[in-house]
Amino acid sequence: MLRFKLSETLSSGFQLNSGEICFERDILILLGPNGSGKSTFLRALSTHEAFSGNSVLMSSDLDFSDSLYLSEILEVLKMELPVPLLEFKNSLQRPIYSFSSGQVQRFLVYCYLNHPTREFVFLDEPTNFLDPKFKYDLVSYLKACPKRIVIATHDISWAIQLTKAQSLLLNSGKTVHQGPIHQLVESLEMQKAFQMSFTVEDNKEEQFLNLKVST
Amino acid sequence: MKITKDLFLFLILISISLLKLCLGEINLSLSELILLLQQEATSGISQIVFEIRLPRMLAVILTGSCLGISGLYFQSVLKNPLAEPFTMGFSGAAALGITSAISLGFTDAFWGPSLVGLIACLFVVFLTLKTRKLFSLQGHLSLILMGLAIGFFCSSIVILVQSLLNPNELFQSFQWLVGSFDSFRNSYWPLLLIPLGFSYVFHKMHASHLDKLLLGSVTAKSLNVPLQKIERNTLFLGALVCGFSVYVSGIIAFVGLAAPHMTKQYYKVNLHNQLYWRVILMGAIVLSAADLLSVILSNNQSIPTGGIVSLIGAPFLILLLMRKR
Repeated sequence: MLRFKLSETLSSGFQLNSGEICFERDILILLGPNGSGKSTFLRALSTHEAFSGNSVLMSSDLDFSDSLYLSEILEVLKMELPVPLLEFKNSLQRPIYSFSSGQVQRFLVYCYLNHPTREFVFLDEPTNFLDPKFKYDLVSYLKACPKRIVIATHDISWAIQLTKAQSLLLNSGKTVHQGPIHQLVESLEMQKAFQMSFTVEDNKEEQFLNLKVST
Repeated sequence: MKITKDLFLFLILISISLLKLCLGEINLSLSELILLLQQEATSGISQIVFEIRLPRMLAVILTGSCLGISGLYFQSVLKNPLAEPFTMGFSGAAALGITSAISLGFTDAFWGPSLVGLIACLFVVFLTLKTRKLFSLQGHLSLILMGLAIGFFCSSIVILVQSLLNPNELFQSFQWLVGSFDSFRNSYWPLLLIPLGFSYVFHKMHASHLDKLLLGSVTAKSLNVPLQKIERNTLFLGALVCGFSVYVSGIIAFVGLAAPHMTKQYYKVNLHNQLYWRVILMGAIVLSAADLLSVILSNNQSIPTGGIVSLIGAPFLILLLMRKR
């Protein structure tokens, strides 16, 4: 279990204050309305002394160089092609710009999840651009992944599939609630932050959990 | 595969350089040049070859290399394909330094305009970093905009100062600013080893950092890339390259912009370990080719190399943009 205190004022004047966080399970999910500080929180985490040197952060703002060849990405990260990406085996000599956003997203997510030396992987909106199939493939992959992972996402119906994950709720730069993902999603704090209420429905006949939303 | 490409480029550079030793007001054939190399006696023609053409060839090669390599770093660090040292405010600053030195009567080739130009370039680094810190600006875009602002500001003052010059001084400042390899200042070529040496140190320190930066600055930061230090060193390298190239030639645009792009397109690589020597080679070729053209086209009136580079440069840039789409 990892316990640390995060509190930071950023140059933009944004105050991030999360008090003390217990990082006890392997996956931590950050939820919160737009502008609540999820990405900022992730960025602060990756440079926090508790993780610095042992973490890698995948940003959601796609500011990588699009002329990079896939083989070069692997070379920079000093790694082999991860197993879930074997279909890319014959296109490693193609540049990023020749792929769709979804393909690149998937390639990068799995690369960072398989980073050879970093124990903590921080993913900002990993489901962006992904097809439903790949989104749910990612769920089962994450559940078995040996890394410690923090995910910031606005995709709540995807996040609840990670049934055992711990979660943090952010609002206006502060953590307002924390707990197991299903409890947190259904909590009163969640309702206040998003101004709507959520219920997790477990229909035993279906493979995936359903998120019921009401205003 | 890459080695054949290397060899090919190397051959091009050597043939251009040999041609440049042979061609000029007095043209030599290759066998005559070889004969000259074997001769020990100093005739008039050997003086031309060894004291005028050879320094010019070396000055052009080194200037092209320096411009190319600093262009590569500016583009990688600022994540902007149009970045090069001379678009980053240094050309404006160098021009301002040169013109004010001339207007104040400092015309010594070594201690005059070049030195003031170099100091002005270094001052831009200082000014940019201080302003950034003072207003706690972040990100590469602020760096680019700051460079542009400083550049335009300096250019305005250059025009103001030039309006005060007499025709003779005005012509002098034109000759300094236009970027030509037509003066005895070519013999200052060893000065360019300073920025080239610095670029090698920079490369040894930061090549792997720059590779990580290709994955995006946020990711790079999480992988412990010292972004601010790299930005500072890149600016410093740019200032050295611009400042010292003013010593031999004046302001030469475009090579810093084009050489990295041409190298990446030709070799199909992006990683800096593979790019370093090749961009140096490419920069040397681009400027040497332009200089060869300037020698061939010059009759009685010499044509400045800096002008020719942009003449080939503009169409190339458009071609590059078309390929990207």
